[in-house]
Amino acid sequence: MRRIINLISVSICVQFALGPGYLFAASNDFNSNSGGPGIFGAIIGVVVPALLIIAIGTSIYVWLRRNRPFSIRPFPRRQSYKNWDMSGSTHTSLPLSPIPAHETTRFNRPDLLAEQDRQLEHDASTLESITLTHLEEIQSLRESNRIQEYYEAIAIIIKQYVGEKYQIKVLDATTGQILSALPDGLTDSVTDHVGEILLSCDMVQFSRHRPSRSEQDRIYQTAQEFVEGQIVMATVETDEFEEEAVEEDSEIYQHNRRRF
Amino acid sequence: MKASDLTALNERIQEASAFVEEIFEEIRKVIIGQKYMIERMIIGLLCNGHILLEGVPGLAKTTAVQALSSTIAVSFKRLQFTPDLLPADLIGTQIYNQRSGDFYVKKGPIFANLVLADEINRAPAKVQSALLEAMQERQVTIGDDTYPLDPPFLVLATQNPIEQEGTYPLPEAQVDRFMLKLQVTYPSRTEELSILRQFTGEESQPIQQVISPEEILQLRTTVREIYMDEKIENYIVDLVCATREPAKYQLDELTDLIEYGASPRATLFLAMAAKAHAFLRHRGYVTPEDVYAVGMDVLRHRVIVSYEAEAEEIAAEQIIKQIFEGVEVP
Repeated sequence: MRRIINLISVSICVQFALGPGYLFAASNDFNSNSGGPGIFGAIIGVVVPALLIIAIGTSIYVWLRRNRPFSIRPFPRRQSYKNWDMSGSTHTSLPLSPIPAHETTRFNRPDLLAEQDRQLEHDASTLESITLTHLEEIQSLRESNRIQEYYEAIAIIIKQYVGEKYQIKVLDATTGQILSALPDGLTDSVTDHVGEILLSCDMVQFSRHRPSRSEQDRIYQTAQEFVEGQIVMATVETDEFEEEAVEEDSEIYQHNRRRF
Repeated sequence: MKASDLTALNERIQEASAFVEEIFEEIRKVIIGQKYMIERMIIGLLCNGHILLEGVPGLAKTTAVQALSSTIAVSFKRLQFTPDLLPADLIGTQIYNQRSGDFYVKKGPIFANLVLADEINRAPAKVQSALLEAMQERQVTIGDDTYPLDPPFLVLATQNPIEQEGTYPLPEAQVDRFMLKLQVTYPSRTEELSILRQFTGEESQPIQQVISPEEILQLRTTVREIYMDEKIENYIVDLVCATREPAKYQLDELTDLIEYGASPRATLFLAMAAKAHAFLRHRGYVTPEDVYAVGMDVLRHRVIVSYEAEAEEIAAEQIIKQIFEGVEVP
């Protein structure tokens, strides 16, 4: 294939190199009849390469249409790949499928992306587990009665977690900035939890407020529940997405059934 | 501060700051949106600081000031600054009485609680300095007599950013006397729609008085009592110092862009404005959030950009934003 392309390229170059000469000859010699290449040479020099280019362009277009080499997104969106792992689902094997081959590729290419999906989920759970571990570790501050430092540490841990999780800049950001930077579409509980934790921490940090034992328990529980809730939410999101995908496939299946 | 003290202070602040919502409610009768501007005007009122408003015409600046004066039942005067205005037109003058053969004092429009100096940069320097002197000293001298201005005394000056032809820009030293410089922007689409609906229909209700001038003066004392932690104090000082020596705060790229940093007045006003902002949020203590919220308004007219910054079309706002991003939040 490469040899053919090389040959075609060389021939095009040669034709182009000769083309102007033919044209020049044609323009000078058309009326003079001096025995030069004339109009015939000009046609060969210009029209043939043009036809060749059109043919090559058409073949490249057809090849791209058939093979779709760029149909896989290099950076799949977090939610878009969750319904790709359909290999185990009975709904994807459409016995009466009239769907053309290129449309079914969405179901035929799940393995690589499913792997990415699993990796990302693994990373997410690691992030949550690291955060929970950190929350556990700072209990020593509380036990040694360093309450203000304890609250500061909670604020930092939650800020870092939120920053990592939602890819927002939390360093040198105030509570309000962090809350407003949270992505749209998050559930109210996420914003409420983050707001509650950070505002409580602000109160202890900036008002010399000495929180009671129950307040200390509550902030820790809220932080812990928030992080644990994120793991649960991730699972629920996955399940919901799979359900949506199943419903979508059922619709396709029903549609096909009706058609045939 | 003990937990009990904080609880008591918080309760007191919550009780004292309840009027703020009522003011918003009343002002909403005549103005849709512009909460940012109204909130800053209340901050100015609570901190005894004057405000410079910059915005294109028709953004309800005058209406807002008028509405605010109605909610606190204070006198309001509007002054249109023009190139032929004289200091006497502003502060007043002595007039000869032919009958009695004496001079009597005719007080100018500056003798009001809320003064709106419209398009302050259209008047020549001598009028501007007469106003700014009154703002600073809170008293006016006519002839041999000095007359104190009744508290609360708040000047709101406006500048039009689009028509600079034939204006007299305020000198930096005089701009520094304004506590806040606000940039009033257009309302959002939803607000614009509400404006259309509200003001093309029935006539709006009259504004009721919410608070008395005496109560405002008492609240100034309450605002000063709001607790500011040492960390916040250091944060404010860091921010102001970063405008003077950015390299010390790892902001080397700003060194060539700043000609002069903010003055100590900025430190004082930033602290006071942050306290007032906390008060409006019904809190008895200041958080970095409060400093951030008012920081731009306090600093934007105090940071003088260099020739290099002007050449690169870098505004003071961009520099301040970078300072806020660069200085560590406690």
